[in-house]
Amino acid sequence: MTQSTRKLTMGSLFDGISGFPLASVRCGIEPIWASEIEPFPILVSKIRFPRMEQMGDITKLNGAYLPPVDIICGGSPCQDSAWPDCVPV
Amino acid sequence: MQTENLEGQESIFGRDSGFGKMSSALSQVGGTLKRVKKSLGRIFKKSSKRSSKLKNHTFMLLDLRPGAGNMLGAYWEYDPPWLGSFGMLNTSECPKDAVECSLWQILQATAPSRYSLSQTACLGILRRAECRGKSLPPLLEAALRMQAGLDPPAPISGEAKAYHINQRNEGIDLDGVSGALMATQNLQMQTFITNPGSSQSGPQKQIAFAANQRDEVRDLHDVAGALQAQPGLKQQTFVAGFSAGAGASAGTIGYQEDVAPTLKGSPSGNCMPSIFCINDQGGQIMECSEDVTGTLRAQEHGHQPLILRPAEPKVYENHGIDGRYTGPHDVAPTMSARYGTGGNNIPLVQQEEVICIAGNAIDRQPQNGGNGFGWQRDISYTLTTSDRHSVYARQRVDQFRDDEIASTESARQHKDATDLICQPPSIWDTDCRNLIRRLTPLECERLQGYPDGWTDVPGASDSARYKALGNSVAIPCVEYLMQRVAMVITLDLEWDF
Repeated sequence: MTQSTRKLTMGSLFDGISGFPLASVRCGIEPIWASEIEPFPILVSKIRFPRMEQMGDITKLNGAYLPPVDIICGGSPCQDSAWPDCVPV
Repeated sequence: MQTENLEGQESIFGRDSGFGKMSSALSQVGGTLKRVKKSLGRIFKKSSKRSSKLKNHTFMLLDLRPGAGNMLGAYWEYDPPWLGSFGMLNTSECPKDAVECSLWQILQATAPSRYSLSQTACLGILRRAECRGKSLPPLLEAALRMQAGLDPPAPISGEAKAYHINQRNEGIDLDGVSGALMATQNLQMQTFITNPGSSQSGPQKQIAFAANQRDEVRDLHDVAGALQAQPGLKQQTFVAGFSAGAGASAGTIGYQEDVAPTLKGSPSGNCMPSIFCINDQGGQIMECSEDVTGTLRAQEHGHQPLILRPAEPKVYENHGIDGRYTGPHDVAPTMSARYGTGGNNIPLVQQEEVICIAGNAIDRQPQNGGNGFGWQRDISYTLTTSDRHSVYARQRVDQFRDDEIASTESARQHKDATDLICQPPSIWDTDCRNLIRRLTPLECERLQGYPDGWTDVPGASDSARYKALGNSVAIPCVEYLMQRVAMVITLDLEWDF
C-alpha cells in the first residue's frame, strides 16, 4: 500500500460550523465525521459537507465504532467546563 | 581538569561562539578565577550534553535528503547545533508571510439598515464615554451625535473649495463653486474640489501634486492638482482630500466618458477630509505626499497596489498597460464594480477608516462592560457569541464614473451620494441614521475567514449565525496548522515505508 498517495482523513469534534473541516479540505485532508450537538451548526455542516457523517453528542461517542481517521480536531468549549478551582486567577 | 573541560567545550562550540571566546579569555586570567571556571565548566558540561542530545535528535520537519528540498521553506529556523549555538528553536518568524488585511476590506458594502445602531444605543455610547471620561475619536463622536439626533445631519467637514488648474500650473480659487471638469486630452487643466479641513478635528493641510510628462512632480501645496487620467500617458496626479460638502454646484461638473474619470469626495454628512496624494507615473515612479504616514507597501502580484497604512487611504492601482487592477479582490465593497472602467492608469482610491466599537459597550449601563476605551481603529474585537460589535466606516473617496456604473458600484447609496451627478444633495436629510452599524453576519464570516455566506443556510437567523461564528475558529489559523499537520503526517508515512 502506498501510504503517500492515500488521502489523509480527519474527524472533527466540537465541530460547530465545520471550521476545521473547511481548513482541512483546503489542505487536502478529507473530513470523515463530525460531532456536534447544536442544531444550527449541524445544519450548516450538513449543507457544506454533505458527505461528512454527523456522529452527534461527543459524550455518547464510542471510539470502537468511529471510522478511523488520521487526524482528530476540536476545541471544546472552555468557559462552561472550567471549574472554579482550575480557573487561573 | 578545568582545562580539559574548557578544551572540550571549545571543540564543541568552536572559536566563534560566545562561550568559546569567553573561555579563552578566562584561561588567561589565571588561578584567581578557579571557582568561576569550575562553575563554568559545569555549565559547559551540561550544555555539551544538551547539544549532543540535540545533534542526535532527528528533526521531523526538516527533510534534508537530496532532492527532497525543504518543503517548509524558511519556516521554523533551526540553528544547527554543530555551529556552536544551543539548538534554540527560533520560532519568531513563524509564519513568515504576514497576511495583511484591514477591516475596511471585509466590510459589507450595503448593510441593511437593521444593523444600524439605534438612537438609544448611540446616546448610550456617548453617555458612557462621558461618564467614564473616555474620549471618543472626533469622527466617531460626530457621527454618533448625528446618528443620535443630537446634531443636525450635516457634513462634518468644512466648506468646499474648488480650484481650477490651468496649463501653467496656476491654481485659481473658484470660491466654492466647482468649475467644469476639463475633459481635454493632453492638457493639465482640471478643476478639483478640495477640502480645507474638518471642523471637528481642526484644519488639516492639503497637499497636492501634479505630474507632467517629463516625470516631474510638482508640489501644488494647498491647491489640488489636476488629474491627468489619460490613456497611455505617464501623467497622473492623484489627490484625495476632496470635500464632502460639495453641494449642488458640484453637480455641474461635466463628465465625459473615458476621458477623465476623477476622484471625488463622497458628499455625505459623514465624509471626512483626508490628506493624501499618490502620483503614479505609468508604473515607473511612484510618489506620495509627505503627509502620508503609512507604509507604501507593494504587494506581490503584478503591478503593485499601493496601500497606505495604518488606517489611511488605500489605493489600488490599475496599471494601464494591461488594463488590470490589482489589489485585494472581492472584498472591498467597490472593488467588484471596478473592472472595465475604461481609460488607463486610473487609480482606485479608497479611503476608509473603520472604528470598531466594543460589543459590550452597547446597550448597557455605563458601569457595565466596555473594557479599555471601548473602541479601536481598524481592528475588530474578538467575535463572541453574545456581543454585537459595531463599526463606523469612514467614507471613501471614490472613482467618478459614468452614471450607469457609478450608481451600481457606489456602495453606500443609502447613506451618501458617491456620484456627484445622480445623487442629489438632499439625500443628506435621510442618510445620517446609518453611519454606525453593527457588524453583519457576513462581515463576521469574513472576519473569521470563512467564505461569504458560509452560514447563510436556509432558515438561518442572524442571531444563530452570530453565535455560531462567535463560537467558531479563525480559518487562516487552522489552515496554517492543518498544512503543517498534513505535512508532518505525510513525511512520517513516507519515512516509515
